[in-house]
Amino acid sequence: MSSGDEILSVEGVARHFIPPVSVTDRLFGKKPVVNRAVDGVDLVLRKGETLGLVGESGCGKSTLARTIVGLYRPTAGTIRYEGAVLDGKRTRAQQRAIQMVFQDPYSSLNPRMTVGQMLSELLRFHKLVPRNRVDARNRELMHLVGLPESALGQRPRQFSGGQRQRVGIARALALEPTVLVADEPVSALDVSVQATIINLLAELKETLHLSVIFVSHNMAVVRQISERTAVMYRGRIVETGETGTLFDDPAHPYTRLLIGSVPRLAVAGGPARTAETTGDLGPVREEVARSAARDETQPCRFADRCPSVVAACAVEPPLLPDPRDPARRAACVHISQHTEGVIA
Amino acid sequence: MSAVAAAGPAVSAAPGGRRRRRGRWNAPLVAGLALFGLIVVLALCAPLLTSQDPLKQNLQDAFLDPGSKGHLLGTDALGRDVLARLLYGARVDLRVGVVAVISPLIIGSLVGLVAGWFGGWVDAVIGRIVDMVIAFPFLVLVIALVFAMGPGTTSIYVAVTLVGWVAYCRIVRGQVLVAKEQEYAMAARASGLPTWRILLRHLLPNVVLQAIVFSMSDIVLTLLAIVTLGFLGLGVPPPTPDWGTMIQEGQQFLLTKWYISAIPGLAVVVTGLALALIADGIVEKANQ
Amino acid sequence: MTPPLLEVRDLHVDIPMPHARLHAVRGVSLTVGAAEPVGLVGESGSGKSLTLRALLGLLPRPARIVSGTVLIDGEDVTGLPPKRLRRRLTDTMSMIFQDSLTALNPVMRVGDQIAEAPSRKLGKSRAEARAIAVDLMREVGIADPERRYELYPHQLSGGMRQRVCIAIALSTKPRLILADEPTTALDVTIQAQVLAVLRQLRQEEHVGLLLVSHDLAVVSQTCSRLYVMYAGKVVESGDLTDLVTEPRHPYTFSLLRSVPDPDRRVARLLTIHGRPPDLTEPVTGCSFAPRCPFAEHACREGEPALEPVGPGRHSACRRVDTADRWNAMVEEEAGSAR
Repeated sequence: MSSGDEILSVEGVARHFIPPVSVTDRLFGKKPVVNRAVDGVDLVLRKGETLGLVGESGCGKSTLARTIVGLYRPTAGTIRYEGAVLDGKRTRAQQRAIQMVFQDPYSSLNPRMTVGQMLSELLRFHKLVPRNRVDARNRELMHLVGLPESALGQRPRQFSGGQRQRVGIARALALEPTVLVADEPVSALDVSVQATIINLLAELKETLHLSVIFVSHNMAVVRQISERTAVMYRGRIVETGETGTLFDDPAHPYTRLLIGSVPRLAVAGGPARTAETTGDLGPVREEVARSAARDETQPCRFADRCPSVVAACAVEPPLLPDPRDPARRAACVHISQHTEGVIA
Repeated sequence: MSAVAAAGPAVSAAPGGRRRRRGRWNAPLVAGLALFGLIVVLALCAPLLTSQDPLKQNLQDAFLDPGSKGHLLGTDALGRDVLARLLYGARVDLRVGVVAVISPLIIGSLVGLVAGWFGGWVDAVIGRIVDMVIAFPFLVLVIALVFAMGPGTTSIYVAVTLVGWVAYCRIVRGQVLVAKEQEYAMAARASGLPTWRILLRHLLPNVVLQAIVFSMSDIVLTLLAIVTLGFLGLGVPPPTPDWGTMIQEGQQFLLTKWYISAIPGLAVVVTGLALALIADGIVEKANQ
Repeated sequence: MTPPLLEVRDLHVDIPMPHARLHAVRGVSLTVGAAEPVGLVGESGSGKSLTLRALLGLLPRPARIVSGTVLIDGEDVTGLPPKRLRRRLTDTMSMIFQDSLTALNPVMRVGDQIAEAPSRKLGKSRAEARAIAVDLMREVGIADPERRYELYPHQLSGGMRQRVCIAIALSTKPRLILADEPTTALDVTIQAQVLAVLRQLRQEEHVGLLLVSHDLAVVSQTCSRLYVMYAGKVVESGDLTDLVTEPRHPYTFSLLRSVPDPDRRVARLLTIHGRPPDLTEPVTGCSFAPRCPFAEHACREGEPALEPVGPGRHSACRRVDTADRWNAMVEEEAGSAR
C-alpha cells in the first residue's frame, strides 16, 4: 500500500473527546464518557486525486478532517505527509501544505475583516510573496476563484453564500497548499449554487495540481467529484474503493444502505429505486447509547443494523481486500464471498 | 483558467443600495453621543458658564430657591452656588468615572480572552479568582480597599480596577468560548497563524463589543460608587465638588429643599441615559 | 366536477423591512385534490415555505398576507370570522416542520402530545385517547409504541421525533398534511425511512399532502404533481413525470441539470450563474432572465404569466422550447468554452 504516489497517509488515527468532569463528580468516582469520534482510521491520499469521505452526521468525518489539518491532535496513530510524520507541532511549511475549506460560509469568515485584509495577513505572515507583490497576488487569487477584484475591499456580509465560499477557497489557496481538505463545502448552499462550487473545485484541482479530500454527507456530490471514495461509520472507515465501483456495486452492507437511501428522481415507469429500509431498521442510534468502555473484542459496529449478520460478526473485522478487486477494501466478513450485488 | 474567471458572478449590487440607506450612524448613537458631548462641553466650559466660585460659602445666601438672582439653580446649605458646583463636579465625576472603567475593561478583556481560549487549568485558576472577587458585593470590596489605601481619587482608580475587571473577564470569556468554535477561528488556526495574533487580530475585535457595551453602564455604576464613597467620607475629599457629595449633603433637607439633592441626582440620570444610548447605538451599528 | 380540496388563488405575502418591503410571495395560485400528493419545489428565498405557512396562519413575524383567497371544497373561507376560519383551516389541515426538536414540547411525554388532540378536540376519554395515540405511533412505524409513549422528545432520535410529529399531524384526522422540508434535517438513511412513512400514509389513509422541499428527488419520492417556485412565483407546474423528463421552463431545466446524480457522473454540472432578484425592488421582465442561459431581449420586458403549455401543464416562459433544444444549446456552449 506504500506506493510512491501517495502524498498523505493516515495510519490508525483515533481522536477521542473526553468531556470535563466536575470536581464533585470526580470525588464520587464518576468516569467521563469518552466520545470516540474517530476510532482507528487508515486512509491514503494519492497525488492529484480527489478522495471522497462520506458518512452520516456523527460518523466522525469532520473530526477526521480537522485532525488531518492539524486542528485536533490525534489521540492515537500517525499522519504522514510526503513520508514525514506530522506530530503535535507542525512546521510552518507543513501547516501551509494542508489547507481546509470550511462548511459554513457564514461563520467561516471573520466578519470584521475585508477579504483583502484576510488574504494579505496570510501572504505577509508566511512571506509567500515580496511585500510589494501582495496586492497583485490578492487580485490573482480573486481571479482564481472567480470573484471580481472589487471583492477585496468588501466584508463577508456583503457577499452571497456562494461568493463567501469562493472567498473561503481563496483563503485556503493563498497558502499555496498541495492538499486541500474540503469539509462539506457545498452543503450549506442552495442547489443551484452547489454546482458552481463543485465545478470550481474540480477545475482548481486540475490547474493547481491539488490533492483533495472531499468530506460530505451528500452521496451524489461525492460521486460527481471524487475518483476514490471512503465510507465512514461510527468513527471507522468501512469501505474504500474506486468511486464508480463502490457506488455501482457496494461491498459493505452499510454502503449499500447508504447509497440505496439516496432519494432518486422517481419517474413513473422508471425503476422504482427505494431503499431497503422501510419500517424500523434495527434499534435507533441514539437509543443504542454508544458504549463508552469497549472490550478488546467488540462486534462489528454495523451489526446491530445489518441485515446479513452471522456469528463471525461478533469480532469487528479490519478493512479486508476484495479478492476480485484489489483496489477495494471493506470491513466486512462477507467480503471474500462478495460477488456482483449479492452477499452470499 | 479563463473559464473559471468567467464563471464568477459579479458581486451583486443588491446589498449596496441598502447600505447607502442605512448609513454609518444610527439614531441612538447620535443622540447618546450628542447628549454625552453636551455634558462634557458644559463641564469643560464651567468657568465660562458661571462666574460663581463653587467653593465660596455665603451663609447669608443659604437655601436660595432656583431662579434667584445670580444663582440660577439656587444655593445649598452653606450658600454655595448649585450650578457652579454641578458644573465643576461634572469635571471630577466624569474623569473619575471614565478613567476608573478603562483599566478594568482592558485588563478584564485580556484575561478573559486568555481564559476562554486556553481553557484547562488556566481557565480553572482564573475562574477561581473571579469567583472569589465576585463572592463579595462590588461596593463592599471597593469600600474596604479604599479604606485600606486611604481616601482619594488614586485609591478609587485602584480599587475599582481590582474589583471591576472580573465582570469584563466573565463577559469576554463567554464570548470567546462561542467564538473559538466558529469556523473563522478554526480557519485562522489552520492557516498556521501564531496564537497571539489569532487572539488579538481575529477574536478580540469580535468579542470585545459586549464588554464595551457593559462599560457604558459600568461608568454609571462607578459614579454611584463614588457617591457612596463620598457619603462615607472615603470619596473625593471635600470641599472639591462632586455629585455624590452634593446628593449626600442635600439629603437632610430633602423634605424642604429637595432640589439640592434632586439636581445632581438628575445629572447622574441624564449621564446614565446618554451612556445607555451610546451602548444601544454601538450594538445596532455592529449588527448592521 | 368536484371542486379541489384546497385551492389558493393569487396569494401575496410581504415582509416589511426597516427601509423597504420584501415582496416574498407574488401571486401564487395552486390546487390540491382530495388525497392528492403535491410538491412545491424551490430554493431558499423562493417563497415556498411562506406560501405553506400562510395557509395555516403560521407566518413568522413580521411577514403578513397582503391578499389572496383560500377555498376549501370550493367554498371561499377567507371571509369567515377569524375564529371560525381558524377552526375550518385546522380541521382540514395540519403541519409537519423541518426541525422536529423545536416543534415538540420538550417537557411533555411524546405520547401525551399525540393524545392531546383526540382528548381535547374529539372529546375522547383519557384511555381512548391513549389507545388512539399508540395506534398512530404504530402506524408511522414506531416500534414498541407503549414504551416509547412515555419518553420525552430529547430521548428520541431525529427520525423517531419526526415520526412523532407526523403522528401528531394525523391525530386531528386532517384531510391534508402540509410538510415543510420534513426530511431536510435528517440523515439520508433516516430520510428514506420517513419518506417511506409518508408514501405509505398517502396510500393507506387517503390524506392529501402538500410537501415543500428544495430537493426535487425528495419530492419525486412522494408526490405526483409539482409546482416549481422562483422569486415568489410559480414558474412551472405539471405532472411529475412530464416535468422531470420534459421541463418547459429554463429554471426547472437548469435545476435538473445542476444537481448531481448518485447513479452516474457527468463531465460538468450545469451552473446557474448569479443569484435570485432582490424582491424589495419591483421585478421587471422575467425574474429568471438575468440568470437564464437562453434569455433573449424580449425576456427582460414585462413579466411573463403562467400559461398552459400542455395537458395539465403550465409554464411562465415565453420561449416554450423543448428540453432537447435546450440540451443541445447547453452542450454547444460547453463545447465552445473548452
